[in-house]
Amino acid sequence: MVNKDKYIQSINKIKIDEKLVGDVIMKVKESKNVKSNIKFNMMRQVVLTAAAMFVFTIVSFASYVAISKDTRILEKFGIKLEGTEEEILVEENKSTLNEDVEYTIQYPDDMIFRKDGRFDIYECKDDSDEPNENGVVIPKVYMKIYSTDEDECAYISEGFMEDVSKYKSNYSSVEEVVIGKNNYKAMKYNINKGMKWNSEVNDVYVVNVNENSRLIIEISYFVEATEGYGTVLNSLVETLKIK
Amino acid sequence: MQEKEIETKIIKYSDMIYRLCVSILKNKDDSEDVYQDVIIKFCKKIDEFENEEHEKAWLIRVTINQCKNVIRTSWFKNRSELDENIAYFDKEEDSVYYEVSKLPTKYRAVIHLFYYEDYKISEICKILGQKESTVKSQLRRARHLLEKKIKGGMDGE
Repeated sequence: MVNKDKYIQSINKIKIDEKLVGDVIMKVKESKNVKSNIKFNMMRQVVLTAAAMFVFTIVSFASYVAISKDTRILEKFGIKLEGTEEEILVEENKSTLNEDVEYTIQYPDDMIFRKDGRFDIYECKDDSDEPNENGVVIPKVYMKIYSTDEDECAYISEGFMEDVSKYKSNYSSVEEVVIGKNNYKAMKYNINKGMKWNSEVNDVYVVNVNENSRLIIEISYFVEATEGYGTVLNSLVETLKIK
Repeated sequence: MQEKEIETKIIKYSDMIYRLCVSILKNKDDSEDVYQDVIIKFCKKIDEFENEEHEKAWLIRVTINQCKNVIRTSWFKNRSELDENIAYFDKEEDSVYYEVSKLPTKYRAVIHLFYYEDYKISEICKILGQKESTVKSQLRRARHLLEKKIKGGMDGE
């Protein structure tokens, strides 16, 4: 059998759960019915608002109790923000990505929201999907840390190199750098996707952890945030420690 | 459009959307979430399509864009191993699919559209909103990477 046919055969094994399809069809039907029932919509809105206010009260109280029992260890971290030397408070996060790769990194948790998982995401707390007062949605700002094996890394890195070539006219580049607390060698890909204030900028660091494992740090921000969040996130890379 | 017709269309396109999601996202949960979002959007626009070809191309484009949103914002497992809950895959029998699943995301989408959905390059360009040279280059790179892992690449045995 030709490989193409094997590929097709494999995909044909994938079938969506029929129950899910049924649920979606019901949802579509319901949404059509509810639209025609104005009174029901209004009542539902009143109940939801009351429920939301109740939940908000509970959460606020719980947050107050949690904050008053804050036992995090915070350190001062010197950084040059918007051209000015500043000190921010950072806490250390220790994360195990897989059997081979464990790292620690510091980050300011009043500015950045952390989500752990297969990929650790450090997302700017100012991010919003809503447009600003000028009707523009600000691009997302985040740092993503994950590990891969050697082969996967080779595939991924080819993608980064292609982007560097594609955006060469915007001064995108690749270079060998030294990062982190123990001077780890890394390939750094700087990809500038445009020259507008909201054009996306990616800084990617690829570190050889050992013969088979790679640690990848992807930082994404936009041109206008270069000296703000862009600087913060790139500075945090200097606090990296890999086990 | 009548409710029964909408239901028929949803059933008709469900596997297509889901399979494309899985090819890009490689996991069941995210694929199911995207599938639901795409169907809801589809139902809102269902009376605007000129013909079936237009409908299918729209669905594919929206599915790919939704998948990209998931990849971009998350806690998303875009480079992990293929989710074992998706289907019963045999590592030997489905070796081609496994190798394709390891390719970078943009290559997987093009491979899926070209080899599984059987679209021509010119059609893929319109669906993805990309230049023909870009799609050709992605396809060429994907085939080249696969040849390193599969004897004969996609056209071999």
